[in-house]
Amino acid sequence: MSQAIIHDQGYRRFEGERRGVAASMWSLVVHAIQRALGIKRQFRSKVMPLIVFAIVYLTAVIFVGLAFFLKSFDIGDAGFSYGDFASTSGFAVLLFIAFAAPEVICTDRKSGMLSLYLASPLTRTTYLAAKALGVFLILLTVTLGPQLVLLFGYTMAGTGPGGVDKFIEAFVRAVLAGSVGALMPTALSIGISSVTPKRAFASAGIAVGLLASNGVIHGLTSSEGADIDARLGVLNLFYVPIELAVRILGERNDVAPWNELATGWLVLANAVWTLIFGAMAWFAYQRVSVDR
Amino acid sequence: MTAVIEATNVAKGWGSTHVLTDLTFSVGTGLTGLLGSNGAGKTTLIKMVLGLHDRDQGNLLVLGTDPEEAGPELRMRIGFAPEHHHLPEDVNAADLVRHIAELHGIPKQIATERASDMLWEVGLGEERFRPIGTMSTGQRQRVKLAQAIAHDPSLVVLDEPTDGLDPVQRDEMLGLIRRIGSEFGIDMLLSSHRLVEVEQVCDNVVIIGDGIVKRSGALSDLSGADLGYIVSVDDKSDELAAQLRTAGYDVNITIDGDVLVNGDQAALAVRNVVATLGVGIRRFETRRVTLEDVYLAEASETGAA
Repeated sequence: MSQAIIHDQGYRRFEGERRGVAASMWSLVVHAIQRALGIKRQFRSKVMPLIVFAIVYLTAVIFVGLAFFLKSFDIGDAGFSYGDFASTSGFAVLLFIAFAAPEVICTDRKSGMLSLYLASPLTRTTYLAAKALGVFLILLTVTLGPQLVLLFGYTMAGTGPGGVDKFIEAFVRAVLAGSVGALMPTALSIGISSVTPKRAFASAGIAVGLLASNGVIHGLTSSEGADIDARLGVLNLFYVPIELAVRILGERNDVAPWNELATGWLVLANAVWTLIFGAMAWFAYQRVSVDR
Repeated sequence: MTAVIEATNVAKGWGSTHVLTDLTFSVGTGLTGLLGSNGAGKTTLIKMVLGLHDRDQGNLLVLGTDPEEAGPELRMRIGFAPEHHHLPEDVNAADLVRHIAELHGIPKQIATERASDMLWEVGLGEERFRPIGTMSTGQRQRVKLAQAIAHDPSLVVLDEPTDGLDPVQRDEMLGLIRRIGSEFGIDMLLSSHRLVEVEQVCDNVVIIGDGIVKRSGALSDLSGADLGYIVSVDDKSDELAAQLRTAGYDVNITIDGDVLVNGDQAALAVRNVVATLGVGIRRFETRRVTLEDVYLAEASETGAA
């Protein structure tokens, strides 16, 4: 019997069945997540996600650790509730929001990948939808992931929800809150990133937009003696999704304007901002040139 | 002949600018060169072929499908290498090629294998795990070619694939393109403004200018016909030309002193006159129509019009 082995088989046709457009989109989603997390890239690309993960997950683990060691621990009284965590981790999440979307959106325009993507089965709309899903899932890792760590950790420490039905309710609330905490920021960061191919400009725009709206609205509504309508709070781009997430978790901030703002306004604000920034991205990508 | 691309009265413009006014042509299998000066509308036509631009009027069929109606499904079967050299700097070639293959519907494991195979085919086997940012322009062009063929397309569209290459790299790239077109059996549309390249590798050509198709068809039909003879003698070129003119032939003298005799029956007359003059012949060969002749003839007609 011959021992010969053919090493070079030459060009081979692909005889299998091609996957559809949905699979192409999912491939882009995975690629976007890998890119934002620095996977298959140099170490410096992993620094920012590692810092954010360290902040939010270490904080969650510390909370859980305290629950284990302090037997009379009441997470609400101690300021370690799910809502407290959502509020205090907000600035770390902001770092991720300002970093993730520019990384996965702007670089495609600058590096010329956009023309390759649009020459694939993706359209401008499906491309943007895949990128948005990628950013949303990335943000879920910091809005939902730590909440689940807390939920499972507290449950094991005996300070979590009692009974299966309570646990399931808490789990659903955590998933909803994490999703709400990621949805509007996804639209905002993609909307702003879609107007420039420069990553740094987009990151700065997102961070400044979120911090400035938070600073101005917080300053106006919390100043002593000020007779400001609480509904002005809907203009706080940074805190609108966080406060809604806090309420989904069954809690509520007791400072102005949130203590006076109805949940309906928060739901409406999140929906409207998501639509506005989503439309901004969509229109920008219908017009963006693909000559590069 | 099966038409890979078939355009009938296709027009495209932006506002008051009419880039393409009336394109009618048919591209068959094999390698087809898309020729035209800068700004002639080659890239616009490519974008319409890919279904990225809607036409204003006319009909366009690519692989038997209307790109406007079935853009995503059609692009699944098309490979495209853009003109620019910008690719993600921090991504290695294998990952990029695999990613593009996956986008075109190839399952991940097969895409990984094909990415590696195609990078070997284009001569980047050893370099496939290098970040693209560390690669030369020539290597990037090869990466672009590899990503265009990795998903086994039915049609590959290459936009200025030799742009930025030195002569040696250009010859290598053209050799690769020729090999992919002939050995791999993939139909290709090669957009270029370099006549020599198209003449070197293509089977068919479409020349566009002024918004219309100037000429199209098989390269062998457009060029290659005998135009006459080129004669180089060691003395008395002027007298040779004069006597041939007297004999009724259309004769020109180049700045190098070569005598161009038009008419495919002129060989005997040239021999007789050379013998009469008693001069030595340094060169005597058939002059054929080149793509450059065709292109320049179209350009001069346009100028005259």
